[in-house]
Amino acid sequence: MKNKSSEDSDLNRALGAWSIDAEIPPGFRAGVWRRIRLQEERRAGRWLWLGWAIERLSSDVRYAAAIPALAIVFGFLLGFWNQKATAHPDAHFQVAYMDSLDPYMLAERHGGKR
Amino acid sequence: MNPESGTLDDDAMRRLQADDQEALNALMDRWQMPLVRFLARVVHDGEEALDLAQETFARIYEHRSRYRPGSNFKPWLFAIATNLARNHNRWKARHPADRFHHEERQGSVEPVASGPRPDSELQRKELSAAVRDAVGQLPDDLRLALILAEYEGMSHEEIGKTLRCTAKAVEMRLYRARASLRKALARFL
Repeated sequence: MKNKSSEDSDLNRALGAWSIDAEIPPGFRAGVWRRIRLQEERRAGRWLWLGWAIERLSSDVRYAAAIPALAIVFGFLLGFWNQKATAHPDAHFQVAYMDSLDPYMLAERHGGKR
Repeated sequence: MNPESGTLDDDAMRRLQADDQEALNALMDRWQMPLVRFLARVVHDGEEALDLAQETFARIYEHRSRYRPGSNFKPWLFAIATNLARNHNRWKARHPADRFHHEERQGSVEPVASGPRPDSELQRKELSAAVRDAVGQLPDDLRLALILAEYEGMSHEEIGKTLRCTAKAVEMRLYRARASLRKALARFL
């Protein structure tokens, strides 16, 4: 039976057998610089619309004035939509729920109708 | 790590931060081969390794301002490469159709010659393939720690910086990786 250090050296020898024959192609460096240029162009393109918008706003007062108006309309619509989404259930459902909890209330109301 | 190389890397990074683009070429000259070899071991494909190595250098350029001169460059470089390789392997796992092409390519990297070979060469090839497969079967964290330690000669501390864990955790990972490999490669040992 092998001892621990012998096992270790055998494993090291085995691991050493895995070699990688890598070759760097001539265009490697140029490829890196091409990627860098593309990334920079993409990054610049991402903010192109902002530059356009600022230029447009600074040249035309009407566009600048439209922004607060649009913000108010958008805020109003957003508030209306949120109110609808979080509104309490209809009053009819509230009465039905109370009736289910308190039969006396139900009897009283029906009695009153008579 | 070679201290001289560390100083050269630091110097190159300082120049790169000052927009001296030639500094990236110097870093590429020094690190492209170790990086491609490391990535080839992680992704098991020579072409993909080249592609990821190029992307690693592009990321170094992009994030050059984040490097702190005086800190160790090698773990920083290998951390970027490791993250890219991990993402790439995840992407490959999600796209099994692409794996077919990958395996086809992988087969074409080391063609088996039809002529007679010396026995020792055949044995070496067989052992090399067995080690590659056994290492490939290890869980991600064990595999990366083992490759960085065995083939890149990194210290536990450097591996910890690369894989964002403690040196003690690296030691445990290496212990487990080697135990697993001893079992998997028992017939060669």
